[in-house]
Amino acid sequence: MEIQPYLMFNGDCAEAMEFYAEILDGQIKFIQHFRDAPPDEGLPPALADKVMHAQLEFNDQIIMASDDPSEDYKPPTGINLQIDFENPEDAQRIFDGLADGGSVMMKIQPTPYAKCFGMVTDKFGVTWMLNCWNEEYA
Amino acid sequence: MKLIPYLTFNGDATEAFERYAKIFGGDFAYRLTFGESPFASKMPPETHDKVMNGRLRIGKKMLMASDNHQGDYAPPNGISLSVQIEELSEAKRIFAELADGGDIKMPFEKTFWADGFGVVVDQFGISWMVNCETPQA
Repeated sequence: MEIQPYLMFNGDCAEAMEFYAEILDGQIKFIQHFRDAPPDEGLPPALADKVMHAQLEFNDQIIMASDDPSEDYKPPTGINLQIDFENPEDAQRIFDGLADGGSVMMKIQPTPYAKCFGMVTDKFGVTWMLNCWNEEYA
Repeated sequence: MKLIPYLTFNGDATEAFERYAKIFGGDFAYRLTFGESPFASKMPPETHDKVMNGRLRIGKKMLMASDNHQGDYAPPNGISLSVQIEELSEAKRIFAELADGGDIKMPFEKTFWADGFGVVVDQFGISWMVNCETPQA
């Protein structure tokens, strides 16, 4: 059994996955568009070029995603993606990458728990928490 | 670099993680409340038994959780947890248990890519996509 986060995008799923692949040094292992679905699924033609399913792999982990096929996309809330790092330099580097064009919720800094912790909503609306625990909390 | 979905709950993080531990056979190994944290004196007393950081291990994956302590909780939106299960009967069981008290968005059934797939928002507000695909030869 595997559990993976599944993100919804507002038509920019492909760009988002490329952005993450570059920052996280990952690879887009799978991408399929709505036009690839069997014709009898009756999907609206406007969706044809949007992403039906994509998988990004980095460091042996998978993030799944698609474009929201409904017309009431809202930016993701309530589940964030945390990445735990072994060393603060890596956390800082990934934080800076994700913050490019995004909005910093909490600048990356030491906390009572972490050598560093920062929180950023990237330009695609996904909120990330970049974290490097103090030894006693890891 | 370890990727951890971090879930926010409306005061029922403990119940949610206990339930998930049962459903998935996970290990709810760590729970720190606001009252136990270094910030306790700054936190309203009604938050003291709420979860600041909970950790649940399911297989290779860690999930973390907090309770919202600001009174502006809204159910998660636009991000789900996808569960890949190889055994169809096990996938059906897990879907049914997540759906108990929850809201089925797409019933668990055969699709063009899967032997079984369904989407459910559970009673704690978390959206799950349960997927069972026969491994390709």
